Amino acid sequence: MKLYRFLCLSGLVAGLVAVFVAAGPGYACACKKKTTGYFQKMGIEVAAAATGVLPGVAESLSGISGDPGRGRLVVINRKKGNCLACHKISKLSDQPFHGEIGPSLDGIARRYRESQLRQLVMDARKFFPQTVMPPFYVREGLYRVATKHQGKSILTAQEVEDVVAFLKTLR
Amino acid sequence: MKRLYLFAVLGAVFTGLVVSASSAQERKAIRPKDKANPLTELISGYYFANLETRSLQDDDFDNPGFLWVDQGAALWKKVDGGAGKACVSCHKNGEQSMKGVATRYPAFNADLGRVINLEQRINLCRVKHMKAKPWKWESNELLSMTVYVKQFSRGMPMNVSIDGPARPYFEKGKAFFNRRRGQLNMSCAHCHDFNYGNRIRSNLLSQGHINGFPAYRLKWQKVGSAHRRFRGCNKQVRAKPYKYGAQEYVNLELYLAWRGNGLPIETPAVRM
Ligand code: HEC
Ligand code: HEC
Repeated sequence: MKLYRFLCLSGLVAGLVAVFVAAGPGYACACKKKTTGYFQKMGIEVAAAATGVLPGVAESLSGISGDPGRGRLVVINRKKGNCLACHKISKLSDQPFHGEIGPSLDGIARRYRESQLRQLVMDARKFFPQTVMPPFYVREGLYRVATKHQGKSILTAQEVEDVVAFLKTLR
Repeated sequence: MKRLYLFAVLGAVFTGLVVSASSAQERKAIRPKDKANPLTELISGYYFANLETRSLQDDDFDNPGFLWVDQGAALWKKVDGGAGKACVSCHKNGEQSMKGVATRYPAFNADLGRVINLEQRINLCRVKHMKAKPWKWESNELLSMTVYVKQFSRGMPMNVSIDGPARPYFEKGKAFFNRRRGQLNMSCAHCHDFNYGNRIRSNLLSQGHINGFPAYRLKWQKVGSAHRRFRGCNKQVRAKPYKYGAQEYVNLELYLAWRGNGLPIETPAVRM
């Protein structure tokens, strides 16, 4: 009986070896959810934000305070914020398909002040120079912008304020 | 006793083979040969498509791209232009004469003094040797002939050269790939180098390889060139696209082909 078990075990080991041999130069990739260099850097940057080192934009861009309800619509809209393309937001789980490119925004208002959230939405490169996240309130220094969008930012001042108001509800 | 041993080992090898065969259903990756490649593993877009789409590609009878292969085969024999010639007049049997040709394109062309892609090589033959008009970009004729020529290299690894006179074109293509552009201010690398395997909303990002092009895209309901795909990706980030056949896109094609050197050609691939 013991022998039988031993044979089974050695069989399993040999089987695994065979997997590697048969797989040859190809192998199954483990590319799902890789950490990009950005994400690694992020840990440091987030800590910096918590201690208040990262400067934000204190003043409302429109002079009017934002509306979280309207902000929610901007966040969802694929032609506006489309934040769900890259971020998971559990509060919006009624919406299908949350992307996996950026970190989850759950509890984001506990990690950043309002001024910093405003800066992040306007131009996240201030905090993360290499980021893939689009600068939502920038008109200049962009390359080969399609004619239709030239000279315009992705979001208006009020839309930025509304998004920030929505983010502040994510505690 | 000995027999039992043999039995166990044989069984084990068999299990191994079965397991490895089924793991081929997962993403198969190969290592890039050139150390300068930004990717540490090369994975065809095939493995990022859903199983339904993959099964369309797996069967030549189901693969709608083969309609273009058939049209290309007919054009291969069709006389056109002032010289009264067809492709077959010079190249005879494509199965022999065109085998492996597509693995080397885009390539530097000494006559024109620049890097050209396969479509441009085909049109060069039409103008120079057939005295015929070049086919229009994205026309059925040019797509069909490109697919026809390229499928003779199916399964062969892409193997473009970036040495010598091709080098400056390669460098330009590389710069294009890494440059932020459009209102969304994103580069090709942002999606296809740093985020492959991640979903962007509902789309699973691949490494953006061109080993399947011209490819049949379900969304297009037809075969399209790599340049059509580039234009689409440019427009997604709200950037001004370039014209079909623009040198900028040919350079980009050279960079992407090098970046995927070693991946097997899949033309006509099926993509979502
Ligand atoms: C194309 C992808 C993309 C889109 C679209 C996007 N983001 Fe981001 N965002 C990121 C990434 C990636 C990061 C992490 C920073 C980094 O590593 O580059 C990030 C970081 C953030 C952060 C800081 C998170 C943290 O934990 O430090 C906030 C807040 C944020 N995004 C909000 C938004 C909002 C609001 C929108 C829409 C108006 C949005 N993002 C759209 C990719 C995106
Ligand atoms: C906003 C994200 C994004 C950016 C930026 C982007 N792409 Fe793509 N690309 C996609 C998506 C989504 C697809 C379809 C799914 C896939 O194959 O990745 C795709 C597909 C492709 C494919 C087809 C791959 C295949 O196997 O069928 C190629 C080639 C490609 N992209 C090249 C490029 C190039 C070159 C650039 C820059 C000019 C670029 N992409 C920029 C999102 C992007």
